[in-house]
Amino acid sequence: MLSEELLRILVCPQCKGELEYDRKNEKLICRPCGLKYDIRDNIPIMLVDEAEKL
Amino acid sequence: MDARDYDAWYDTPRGRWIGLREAGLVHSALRPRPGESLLDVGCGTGFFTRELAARMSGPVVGVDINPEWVAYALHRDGGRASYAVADARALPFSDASFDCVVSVAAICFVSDEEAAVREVVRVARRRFAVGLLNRSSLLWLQKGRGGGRGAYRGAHWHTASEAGALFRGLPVRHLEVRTAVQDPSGGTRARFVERVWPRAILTGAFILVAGDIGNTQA
Repeated sequence: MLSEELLRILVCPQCKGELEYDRKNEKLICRPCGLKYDIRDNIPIMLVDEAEKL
Repeated sequence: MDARDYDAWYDTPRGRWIGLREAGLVHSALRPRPGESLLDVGCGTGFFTRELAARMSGPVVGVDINPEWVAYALHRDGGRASYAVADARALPFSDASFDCVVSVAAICFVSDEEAAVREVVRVARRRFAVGLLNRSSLLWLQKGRGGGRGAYRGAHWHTASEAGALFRGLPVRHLEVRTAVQDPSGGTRARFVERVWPRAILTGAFILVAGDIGNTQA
């Protein structure tokens, strides 16, 4: 289960800044770093190397 | 190693005894208060996350760099804890996000262990416990030498003083170093030895450094 609690406390692992939750595409977005972190099968993949560029 | 095979080790009599000894030591060193939150860094297949969550009442999160292991941990957990894939050297949490932070025999597999220890301390608000592998132990003689065998391949092994030194310069106080699992065979003799072994003789396979967050002068 992906809890709302976890979504609230996750930050960008690179800049430790707040993330924007794109619920439709299941992504966590860091605008300053220009990175999109994927959420796969309810698991956020918070790795800078695996993030997509915005 | 396959997540299911790895986790199944904790269902064997020897694995279960070792796992529960370690979980018990982590829990007693952490001394969690009711409702406190917990982060498990390098949770693997989630054995320690589940064991600690069962002994605590607050929110619990586990992170590991291996997506397959995290998926297994989530599947086994049954909804008690939340999980994410993360690198121990760059955790996706703000400073002081969790009351308690643990890492059990995980940082010994991270290439920059100082960075991982720094992150554990950074995201903890009150207390932390980091479990490592003890080079002054019977297990090291059996499994650790020459790069390590089986699940111990590539692990770093520390002496008690080296384990404590990883925290030098960090905002921590009241460091305690304890060990468990003196005889890793897990048999009747091992259980007896474990009960009578003096706590001050730090020769258990599992070495735990615990402490409070805060500056030493506070």
